[in-house]
Amino acid sequence: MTVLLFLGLFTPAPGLFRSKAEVRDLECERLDIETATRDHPGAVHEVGPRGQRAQREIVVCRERLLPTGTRPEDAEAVLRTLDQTASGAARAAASLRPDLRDRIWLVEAHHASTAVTTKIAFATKNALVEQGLSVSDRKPLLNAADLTVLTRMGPDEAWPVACRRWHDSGGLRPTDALLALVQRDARATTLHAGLCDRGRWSWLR
Amino acid sequence: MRRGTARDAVGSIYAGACSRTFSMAWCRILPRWSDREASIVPPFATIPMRFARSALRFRVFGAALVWLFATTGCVTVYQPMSGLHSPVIVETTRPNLRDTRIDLACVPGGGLSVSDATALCGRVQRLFENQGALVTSGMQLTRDPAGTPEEAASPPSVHLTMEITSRKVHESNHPLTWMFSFSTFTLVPAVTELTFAQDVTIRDASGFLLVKETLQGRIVRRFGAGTWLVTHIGDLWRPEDRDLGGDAANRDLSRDLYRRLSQLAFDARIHADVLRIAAPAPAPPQRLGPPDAHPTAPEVP
Repeated sequence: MTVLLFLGLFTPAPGLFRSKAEVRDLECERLDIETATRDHPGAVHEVGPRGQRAQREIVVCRERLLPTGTRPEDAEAVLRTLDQTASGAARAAASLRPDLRDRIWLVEAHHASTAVTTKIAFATKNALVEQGLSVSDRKPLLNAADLTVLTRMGPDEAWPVACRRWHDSGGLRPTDALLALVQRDARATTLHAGLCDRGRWSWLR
Repeated sequence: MRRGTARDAVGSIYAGACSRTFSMAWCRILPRWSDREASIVPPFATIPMRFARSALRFRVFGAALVWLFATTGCVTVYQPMSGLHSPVIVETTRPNLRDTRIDLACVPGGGLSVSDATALCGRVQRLFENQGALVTSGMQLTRDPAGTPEEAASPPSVHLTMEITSRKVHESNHPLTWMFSFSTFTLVPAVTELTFAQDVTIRDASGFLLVKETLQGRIVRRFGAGTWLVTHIGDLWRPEDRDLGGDAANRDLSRDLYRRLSQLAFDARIHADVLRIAAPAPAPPQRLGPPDAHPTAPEVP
């Protein structure tokens, strides 16, 4: 086994024992011994008190939750980093608008896929709760005429108009604030956060 | 659109390292063969003994074998480690970056030579131009703020600066693997490895950081008749996009790198759009110093 490792036959690179597709399902990083022993205790032998005899190389690989191709690429791009995206948006909302701390927060998400939209909204609500904010499951509604107009607009115009309509129609009360996570373009892998407060819309990030 | 190769992307750090190391090793072995023919000559060299009666003929035969192995015995594989194989949605053949100006800089160093940096920049420039962007490239981000005459006529709405730097993260080429490989007549491969990183930074015109990502990958070279044979026989059964031999490593790395760069540029463009919209409107210029006697105000009779 040691010899095979030494010969590089069991490295995560594609070859006799691994196909290219299998390798693409791995996220790898090269670590120094100290970091590897700290982050993966038991899996990596610690350096002895007299140092180590030979230089060791540690490459740590994690398998992706779902193999490549299981989900569409646009969904995969958003869902892989959803935790960081949602936490970042919630942090930005809490830190940039401390005056809205006492409000009840509603969440709106927009993505090409309905299933992904639901997941984004759920993750964002959790992230807001982690920031110590009050969150509601209520969804602000718009009437059919508003929706017809809004769907013809681009994101730059549609979101400020929607925000104003939510406020005017009473969908968003004066005690509410709304955080939206939006995929502004179907080709983008990032989500942008916007805030609606008493009919005024602003992009946070 | 012409696509670049892996060598353009990671520089010439490793180009030819396999064959150089191999040649050096054989240079050391060859004289010993000719001095002590009977005891050290490997089995495959005893077959044409009539041809190799003289030392000169033996050297020619040995050199031919060296050349044969050096040119056919290397199998290079590419492994994306992080960033390079992240999901990409944009299609690089579509006009994704229309109305965008990009100042591109490929900084030499860290294994990327000046000529490789120039070649990389040229290819990335073509990549973005094919997607509709107006691109200027160089080794540093120095540019006339007024832009070209055609830009002055119709200024693009988004202005980005992209900087690409390279790093050699790790390199391994242990002599023991070569010894072990040669002692088995290269049936067991000698393995060398290079881990590289490309740091990509994209900012808007004001210098605000829009995207910063590190794309990391490995190039593993296996040398030996055994691995070469197994790989190429395996390639006969694999679909073409899963081939391991030939130019597959260059092709895969180039595809990953250019697709990922396109996605990063597009995401940065969208981000820059959001910042442009979110930016507060410029305040009207304020008068400094004590107010004068309102020169424009009508005089009261």
